[in-house]
Amino acid sequence: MSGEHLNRTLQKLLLAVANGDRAAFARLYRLTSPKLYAVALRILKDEGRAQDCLQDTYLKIWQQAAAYEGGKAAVMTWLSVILRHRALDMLRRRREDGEAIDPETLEAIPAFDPVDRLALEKCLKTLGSRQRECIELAYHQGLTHPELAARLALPLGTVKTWIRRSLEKLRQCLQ
Amino acid sequence: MRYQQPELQDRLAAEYVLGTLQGRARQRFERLLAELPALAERIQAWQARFEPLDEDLRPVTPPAHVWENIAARTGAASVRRWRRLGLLATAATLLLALVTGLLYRQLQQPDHLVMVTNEQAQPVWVLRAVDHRRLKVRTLRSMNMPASKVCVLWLEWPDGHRQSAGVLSDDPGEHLLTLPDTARHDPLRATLAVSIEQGPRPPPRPRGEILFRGRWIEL
Repeated sequence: MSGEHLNRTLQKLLLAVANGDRAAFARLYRLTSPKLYAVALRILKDEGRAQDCLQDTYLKIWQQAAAYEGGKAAVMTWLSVILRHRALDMLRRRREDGEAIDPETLEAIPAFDPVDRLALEKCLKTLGSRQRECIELAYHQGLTHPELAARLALPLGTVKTWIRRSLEKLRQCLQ
Repeated sequence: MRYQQPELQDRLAAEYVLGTLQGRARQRFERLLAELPALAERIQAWQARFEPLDEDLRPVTPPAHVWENIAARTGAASVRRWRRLGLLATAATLLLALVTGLLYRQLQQPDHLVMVTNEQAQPVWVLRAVDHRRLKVRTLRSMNMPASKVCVLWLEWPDGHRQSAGVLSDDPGEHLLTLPDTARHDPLRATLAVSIEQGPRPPPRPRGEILFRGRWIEL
């Protein structure tokens, strides 16, 4: 299934979920949870908490499916926002390091459009290597400004400025 | 208002998605999100920009119990069982139809139920739609609310329309609520929410904490 085709399928499922269709909800879960679970595992670094996060995320999806406005964002993007929000919230509450993840089962899901990936990579390269590291650490591990400053041995003000400028550069570059 | 500036909105949305928008700034931003639809679009746009970073992640199928929990909490698990019950009910209905048409009609009407639980997942109210206008509420246990506060039931439709269906009684036993009379909005298509409000009468829209949100289960 191509990214575009997958998105159309997911849109139909989400619309059905908004109308209370439980079979569609189960299918949406099967298609999207492996990707979201992987994201939750990376941010939370703990299987139990990633599972809690996933559960909360899908309960929210079930309740709020009607809020999705087709055409404005891809379904995976919409779902990712909900998941990241929950994962970052959990991280704030209790931050601790977990063990490495050993995935038992893998399920293939289409990759994102390679053009997007290339464009983002190209734009990330226009940032300095440490600025780029800063952005990637924040996105992948949900590090806060002070945590980033500690990790990169930089003053807090520098980290804040770097992030602000890097985001502005990325936005212009990706337009 | 400061937050109306597109540049500021965009910067906050970017840091929200990145995860560096923290603490009270994040809470303030999330409150604004409910009022400014433009913010949601900016968030989606930033998530789409960053998403390729997730591409190298290998998908991991979550353990089965995760879905079982979700299904149990949303009523999705019981679908197969209810279907089987549905078949039995249909057979019974056909038989009874020979006896009385009225009974036939009643049995054809599916029951719409919602169970409202407290934070300990204990059932507090069972709501049953009598018809499209009336709701039967059975109070199973008290929420032990302060005297000045009440629990208000809300109906929320997919198009954003929302209406109060009144105060959920704390007294044990059965109570009748009249559903809002809206021609375009079917109460059985609504999501139900319960919030804690300053009593005694429900405000025009929820102001207090939302305790519960759920959908009708069709039996």
